[in-house]
Amino acid sequence: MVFSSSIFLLYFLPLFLVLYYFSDRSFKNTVLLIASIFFYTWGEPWFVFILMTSTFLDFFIVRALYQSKTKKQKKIFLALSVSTNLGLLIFFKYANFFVENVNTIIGSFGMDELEWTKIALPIGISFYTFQTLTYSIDIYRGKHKPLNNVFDYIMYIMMFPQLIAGPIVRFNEIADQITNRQDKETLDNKLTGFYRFVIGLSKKVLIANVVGQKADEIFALSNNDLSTSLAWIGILAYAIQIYFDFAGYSDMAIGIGRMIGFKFPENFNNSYISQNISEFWRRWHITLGRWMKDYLYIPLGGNKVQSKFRLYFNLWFVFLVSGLWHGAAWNFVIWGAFHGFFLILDRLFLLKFYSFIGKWPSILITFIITLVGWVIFRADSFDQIVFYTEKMFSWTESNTSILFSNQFWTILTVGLLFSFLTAFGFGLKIENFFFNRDKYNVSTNIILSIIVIILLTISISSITSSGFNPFIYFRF
Amino acid sequence: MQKNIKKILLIVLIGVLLIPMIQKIIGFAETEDLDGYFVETKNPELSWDKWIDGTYQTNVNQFTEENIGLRNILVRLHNQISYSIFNEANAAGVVIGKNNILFEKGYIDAYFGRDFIGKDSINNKADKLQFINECLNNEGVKLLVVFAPGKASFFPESIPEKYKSDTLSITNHEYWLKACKDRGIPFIDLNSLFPLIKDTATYPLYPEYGIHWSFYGMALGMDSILNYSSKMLGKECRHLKWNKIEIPDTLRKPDYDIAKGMNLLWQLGYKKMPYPVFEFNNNDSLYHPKVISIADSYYWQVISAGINRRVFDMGGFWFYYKDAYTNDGYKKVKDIKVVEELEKQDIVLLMATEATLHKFAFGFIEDVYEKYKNKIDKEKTASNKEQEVNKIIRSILDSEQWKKSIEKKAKEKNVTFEEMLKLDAEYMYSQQNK
Repeated sequence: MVFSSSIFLLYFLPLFLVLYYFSDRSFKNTVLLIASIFFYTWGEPWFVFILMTSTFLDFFIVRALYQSKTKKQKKIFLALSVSTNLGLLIFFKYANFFVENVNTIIGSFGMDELEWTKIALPIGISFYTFQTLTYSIDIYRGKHKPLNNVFDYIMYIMMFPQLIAGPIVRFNEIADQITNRQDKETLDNKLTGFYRFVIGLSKKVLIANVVGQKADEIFALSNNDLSTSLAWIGILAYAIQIYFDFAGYSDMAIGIGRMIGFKFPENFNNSYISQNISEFWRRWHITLGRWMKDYLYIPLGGNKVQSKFRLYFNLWFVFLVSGLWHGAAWNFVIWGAFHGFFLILDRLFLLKFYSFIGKWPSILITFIITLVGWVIFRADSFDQIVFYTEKMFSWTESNTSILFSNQFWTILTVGLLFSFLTAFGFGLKIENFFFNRDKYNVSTNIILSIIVIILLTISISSITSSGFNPFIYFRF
Repeated sequence: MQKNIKKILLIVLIGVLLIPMIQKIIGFAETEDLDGYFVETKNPELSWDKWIDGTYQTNVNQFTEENIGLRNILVRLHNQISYSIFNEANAAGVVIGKNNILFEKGYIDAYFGRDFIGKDSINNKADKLQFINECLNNEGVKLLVVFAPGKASFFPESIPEKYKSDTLSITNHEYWLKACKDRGIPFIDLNSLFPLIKDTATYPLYPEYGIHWSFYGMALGMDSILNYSSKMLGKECRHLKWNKIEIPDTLRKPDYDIAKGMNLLWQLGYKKMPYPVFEFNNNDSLYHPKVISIADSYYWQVISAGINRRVFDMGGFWFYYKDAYTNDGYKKVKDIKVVEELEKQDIVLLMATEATLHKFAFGFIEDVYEKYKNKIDKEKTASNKEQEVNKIIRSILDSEQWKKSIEKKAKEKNVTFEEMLKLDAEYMYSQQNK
């Protein structure tokens, strides 16, 4: 069940909210747990059993970890918990990829390929794994006590607002809210949460979906059909699509969380106004970046390593893993390496160069680097990465005619405007008003509610119309 | 006070999410159904297997999307926004042209020759059509091809720039005209005629928001067809007569059909259209030709005006050579003895507009050509047999011994000598041609 579907928006969400708000305080976690199980079961009716069983076991492993007297015992239980959770991720997400590559290698030596039945990728497994890891590692590090109730733990892991697309909520950030969030269940939070949810929905439905269709059309073109202008339009459309899609989804998750008393961490912060790639990663998928830093980069030695070579290796390794986390395919690995490369260049000389050329040229160069990165991310093959990037910078034309609608141009322009608006002072003020306020006065609330109802209605109308494109006159 | 207002706002916001569900249950604010052709999802049945493999959930998602409360209004709202803000239509193949003219994209593609099926393909079809024409003429039936007017040819100036081609290709219409001329196949080209009389016609020949010709345009077109039919048959056929033209405040079907399929919230502003009121005199002595029409949807207006019943002699309409509307009611064309039926007519009329010419004449040419070819082959075979059998008979009669053997067999079987002679000759023919 995705947030931007009628079944979620018009059935699941309102019924859940009514039930949740009318439930006694002591039942709220139960209502949230049942709703989350139903939500996940709807999309993964089979994997839900594995997920719940492993979560259940993990709870007791971590409890044993906490109760262990010696460091060695703690390490054993930590290793058990981490390997169980990572094992699931590796098996379900990377087994196909591994076997395909092994088969390619042994096939090239003329040997028989391994027989293998492809495994379907369970929804949200990457987010699930990273959250379970934060639980065991945070307890191991003594950052927080474990939860007392196994159902609270399952609820934390499976909580439907953030289970399938983040943000990655670390245990120590939310632990207290799991058991007591009375002070956050205010009318103001419920209203601002609703506003945030609808803004996220609008980003996804009214911007990302519209430009995404053309991005798909352009990325489906062959080398001969693609021209330089189309390549740039396609990658700009994709950049806007992926940003508004992912950031929109995070807004929806944060919004629903706020409506039920949780404060989830921010996941995006105007990524495209970054002045270098290092900054981009502080603004893009923030919770993943922070997770990688705290649970991988720092354990590897972080900045406190003796040689620069080791530092650069650590950086690059983290980004390779980060790329692979996004998907089990070589283009994601290359994408991670590409970003890691620019992070190293930042440290070597690019940051100095950017400060020399100033804010706007730095934003432009960083944005172009990001766009090339998106080509790698979006491409279906290595060949496509090469020819698409070549087309972007080779100034060639083709006879392909793709019809661009007024709506596409308008929405692409709006998307670009919103993406760069906060590079200006007034843009930042607008953003602070909508995103960073905990409460508004009554008249502002009324105005915002009206705006939100309009946006919600337009979004729902767009969702329900998306599959409705009838033939006026149906010929045989 | 502030708290109460916020509470009310929260209730209103959640209430907005609940409205479609409540509407679905209670059924208030029912609205006009959406127009156009689309495949509806059936309400899925729940089973353990379907639940586990996820097909139930997928189907419920789809079914819910198509059946949420107030969906008609929501779809219309979405379409209205697309139209009013972005000047776009959310209906398959609809193009919003300049000067408020709505097109179907197929007409624009045909106008620029984008759907041209190739000279060889048309020559091949035209050769077969010429053969059909000759076969029908031998039976006293006339074939008439009508090129109905197309909207893109009629309003080329209103085609949006982005749909135009830099290079003009030959079109199906142009090449079919040539093919018919070269082979002497009778035709009427209303697609070329209508743009020529566009500025001088008393009333609009095409509506702004319709796919098809206007009722008035159809009347002029049919008048030309009837005049031509009289000449072809050498008999004075009934004419279309009208002394009155109604110009009502509302548009009648199908003058608003494209706009209707756009499913907007508000009706588009339109110019009033003329509708001639025909006078049919059943007692006149003019000839009522028997006509079968194989045509696309342009012919529906001829049917709805009653022309096929009142001017033609209860003419049949074989829509896309698939669905037959006949004197005996509805049938599938495949269930009709086609050649037999065609040969009962005075005229076989084939009509297509530019957008459907790429599949002209909807299978009629291929099917009827095959049928006639088979019929002629059979006739040839029958005639050959008769000649061969006669040859054998002559050989038998030339041989006294053989003759006696036949006489003996005739006695044994108790049949006449002539009968036995023919039976034996036929038997020998069948043995020779095994």
